[in-house]
Parts: sequence; C-alpha cells; structure tokens
Amino acid sequence: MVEPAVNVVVETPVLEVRDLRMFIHADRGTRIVRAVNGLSFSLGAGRTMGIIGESGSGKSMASLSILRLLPRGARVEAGEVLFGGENLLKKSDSEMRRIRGRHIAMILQDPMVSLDPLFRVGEQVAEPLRTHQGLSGETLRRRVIELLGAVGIPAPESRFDQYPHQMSGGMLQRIVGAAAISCGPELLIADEPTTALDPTVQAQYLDLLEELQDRTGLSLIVITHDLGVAARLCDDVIVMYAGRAAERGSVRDIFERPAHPYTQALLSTLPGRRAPGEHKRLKTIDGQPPDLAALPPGCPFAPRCPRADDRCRTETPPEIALDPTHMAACWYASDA
Amino acid sequence: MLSFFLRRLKLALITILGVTLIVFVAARLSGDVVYSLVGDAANTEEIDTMRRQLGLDRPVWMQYFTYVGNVAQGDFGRSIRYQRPVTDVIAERVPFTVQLGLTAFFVSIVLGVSLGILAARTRGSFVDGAVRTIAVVGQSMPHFWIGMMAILVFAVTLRWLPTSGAGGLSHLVMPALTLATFPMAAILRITRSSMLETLDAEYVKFLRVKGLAERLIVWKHALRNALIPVIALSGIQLGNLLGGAVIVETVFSWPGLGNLMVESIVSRDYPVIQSGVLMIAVFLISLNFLVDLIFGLIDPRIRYG
Repeated sequence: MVEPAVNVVVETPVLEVRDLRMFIHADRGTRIVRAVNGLSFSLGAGRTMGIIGESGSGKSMASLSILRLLPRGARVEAGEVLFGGENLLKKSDSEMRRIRGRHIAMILQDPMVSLDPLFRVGEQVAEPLRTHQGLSGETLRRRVIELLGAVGIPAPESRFDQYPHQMSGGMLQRIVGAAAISCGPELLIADEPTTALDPTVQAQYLDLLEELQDRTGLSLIVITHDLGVAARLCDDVIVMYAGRAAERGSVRDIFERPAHPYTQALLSTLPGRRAPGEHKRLKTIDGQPPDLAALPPGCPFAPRCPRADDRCRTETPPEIALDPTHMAACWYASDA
Repeated sequence: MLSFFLRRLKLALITILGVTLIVFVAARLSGDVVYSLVGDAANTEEIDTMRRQLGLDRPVWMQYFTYVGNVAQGDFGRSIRYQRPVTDVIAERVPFTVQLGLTAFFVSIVLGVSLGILAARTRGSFVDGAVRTIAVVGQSMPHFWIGMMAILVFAVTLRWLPTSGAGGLSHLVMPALTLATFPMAAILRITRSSMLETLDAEYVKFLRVKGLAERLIVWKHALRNALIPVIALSGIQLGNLLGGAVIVETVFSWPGLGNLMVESIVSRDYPVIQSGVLMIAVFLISLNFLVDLIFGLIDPRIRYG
C-alpha cells in the first residue's frame, strides 16, 4: 500500500446541500415561483459560509429549506440536505423539531419582532433548554443568565425578567443570539444578521458572532446582501442569482478573482477608495433580476450581462470548476 | 394607577349623567303615563290630581333635578305600575338576566374561541370552511327568528324543551343558546383572523426555529397574543348581550331585566325605565374598565397612567 504523500484529512462536512430545488405557489397557485433552482454547497465544521445575493435571489428560501420552515405554499421539489450525513428532507416533523434549536439554530432578520412581546426575555431564552435538555428551576435560570452574559449583555440577572419592549435593538439581537446558541448547535444560520441594526451596533454584533464561533466551534451560514459583512466574516462565499449559485469559492476567490460577470458587476458597485475631493457616481447593474415565475432559457443573468452571446441566451451554463474549490456558472468563466 | 382610576371615574360620572338626561327626556317624549293610568272615562280634574300626585305637573327640568338629587341619595323612586320601590322591582329581575346572560356569554366564548382556533389551524380546509359558514350564519340570523324557529322545532314539534318561562335548566337551554349565537359568531371570526395573523408573526417563526412543540407555540404563545383583540371584542359583546336579552327574553317570556324594560316602556313606567337604563349604563362602563384592566394583565407593554 502506498502512503499518500500528504496526510489529507477527509472530514465529513457538517452540512451538504445537493441540487436543492424549491418553488412557491404565488397568487393563489396561478404562478409558480422557482425560488431555488439547483443549489449545491458543502460546509465544513467550524467554517463560515456566506450566501450573497440581491433580494429575491433565493438566499432566505434556501436557508428556510434547510430547517424545513418554509412559508405556506412553498415546497421543496428535489435535492438533498445532508446534515451529519442524514437527509433532513426525509425526516419526520417531530424529528425535525428535535434538530431545530438543538443542532441547527437560526437568527432571523429583525430582532425587534423575533421575540414574543408578552413573555420575559429570560423565559424565551430558556425555552429551548427546557425542551431539548430538560433543564428546569434554578439550574435553568442560572444557565440562561450565563448565556445572557456570554452574548455580552451587562447585568444579565436584571435583564432576565425584562420584556422585549424594554430593550434596544442591539440588546434584542443578543437575546435572540443567546436563545439560538443555548443548546450548543453545530450549525447556526444568520439571516441578514446586521440589516436591522444601527451601524454602530453592527460591528459589535459581527464580533460577537466570531467570538461565539471561536468558542464553540460551530459552523455558520451568513445570509447577507452586504458584501462587507461577507468579506469580514466568511471563509467561503456563494453568490446567488435567480435561485442558483452564480459563483462559489473561498472568500479570496470571490473578492480577488471573481469569474462570473454577475460577481464582477456586484463588486464594481462597491464604493471604492477615492481621493479627497474626487466625486464618482456609484455604479449600478443595469436591468432587473429575472421573474422567477417565468425564467428565460439559458443563463438567467444573460439579459444583463455585457458578455452574453447567443449560446448564453439558449443554453444554461453548468457550474464550471476553475480550481477544486472555486466554480462559476458561466460559459466563459475560465476565460477571465 | 390611582390617577388612571380617578380619571376614568370622572368620565364615567359624566357619561352616566348624560345617559340619565337622555332617558329622562326620551321616556317623557314617548307619551303621557297619566292617560294610561286614569282610563278613558276620567275627567280633567282627576287627570290633574293624578299628575300632581306623580309630580309630573312641574317643568321637566325641575323633575330631572329632583330625580338626580334623589338618585344621588340612593332613592330611585317607586314604580308607577307596581306601586313598589323601583329597586325591589329591578332586583327581582336581575338574577334571571344574569343567569341568562352569563350562560350565553360563557357558551359564546368557549365555542367562539375554540372554533376560531380550529379554523385558523386548519386554514383553507373543509373544516375551516364549515366553521366560517357557521360564523356567517350565526351573525346573519336575527335573535327573534332563531328563537321562534327553536321554539317551533324543539318545543312544539319535538317536545324536548319547554316553550317559555323560567324554571329548571331545561328552560335556560333555548334562550341562552339563541342569545349566544351572535356573540359566538363574532368571537369566532375575530379569534380566527387574530390567530392567523399571530401564527404568521416572526416571533412564531422563531419559536419554531427554537424547536418548540407545536402545542406550546399555539397554546402558550400564539393564543395569548391572539386573545388581545378577542378580549376587547368579548367586552363589547357582553354589553351587546343585554340588548339581545331584551328580544330573547320577550320571545321566551323570560322574566329578566330586558322583559321588565319592554313592559315598562309599554306602560310608560318612567322610574323603572330610568333606573333600568341607569343600571345598564353603569354595568357597561364597569365592563369597559374591567376589559382595560385585563389588557394590563395580559400585555406587559400596557401601562396605566
């Protein structure tokens, strides 16, 4: 037997999504909106994956599909969501309940409306611990206060009995974070973690996410339309367009060697460094994202793509591997 | 809290004063009690004597101030028809209306809330459609019609229940259910829509994300939030029950306050009309106050001041 030259550690990814497709019945079933059209990715333990895209690119729907918490009228059509090697799409509802909050947690977009206004915040952090770990009484209370402290809430004992309306947005985001990580999940999905927060609180919150990840080793999926957040937090990035991955790769691949024209266009919209006194108009991407209920044939980005030709308008490009971790769904990806 | 209470008390007094004034004047506009008392053969002298005895010869504003003054001292006057203190006449009727009203209220809350939750949780299904049909029918049929149909079917044809009057539990069934239909339907509809709205809220989604059992999400969190508008409406419906009771008590000859009010209006028994309405007004005002206090118990965001 030949020893491998390099000791390659092959670890099973925490999460592997294969060719996920889902649709939503809109307008009383008269329109079928294909929100996710064949999304694949895998996420290793302790790594952070960013899912970037405009609103309506399917990034939130993809994450809700993972947790099987789709809105009414939405259905997963095909694909696999492998978590710890098991397909979540095949689990029963009660099996999924035991996974949610315990193994996979999620932070919703707006902390101001994520908590029940009629219950004390301590109770709302305590609930998953009671449900999944059977804690109660003084043990439970101590554990909750410990968690509140861990997410950076000053004087956690006094905050325990407060109601959501008595707290600021940044504070509520931390409470929501404490509830999410309470049972030590292996995977945390953060849906637009900073959009609802004041700019001053945003940075603190990103620090907190990083710190939690360092301490607990959890894997993180960050859904965002903020390229800055992705660049700052993520190891790997998926750029979504029209329910598909336009490009995926390491954060360096995406930001330094973008291969897909959509990624390139996105990056060019960022305000660059300017000399003092210099005025430049911010760039925009011409055109509109396609109607997901009536996707044109070919590459969904073709109508807005400066490089598109007849082939792009008729044949959907596959994901073309540029190197083992970097791929782009563009016929001309390797020409870049 | 104290200042809240005092402010509400002041408002209540103004409302009550307004109510007494309107009823006082309206009762006298409906006709002259003296003529119905003395009979057709009476001469002018007899009529004047009778009018003086009842104190109805003085200007209306003077009568009103005497009345308010007396009420302030706890004297509600004597019933012209029964020749007994008004308080006694009303007091013997109140228990019947309380029994009827509370039974109907209890039935409408229990059925309305549970059917509303059922419909919300089975949104769009056959069950939901059936429950919503019940609600529309319940809100569309007038009390007197339901009452008469019920008498026709259950008392006359099937002979299961007595046609009218008060007695044991069997006498209560039809009037209470008839009275309950409208509030039950109203409570059902608001419970359903409020529950649907709550179940779609972001915090409910987060409860699901936390992996809580569905029964905990529905019964502990969603229901409590959904009940806020239901309680507001239930307060109003309990008030409306009194209005419904006037009709239902008449249809079923139920010897309650509603029945007494109809009798008194027909016979122009001013003191009974005035005190009856006054009592109903006080009840409604207290009810509103109670509903506000219940809000405070449920919703921590509400502060009194």
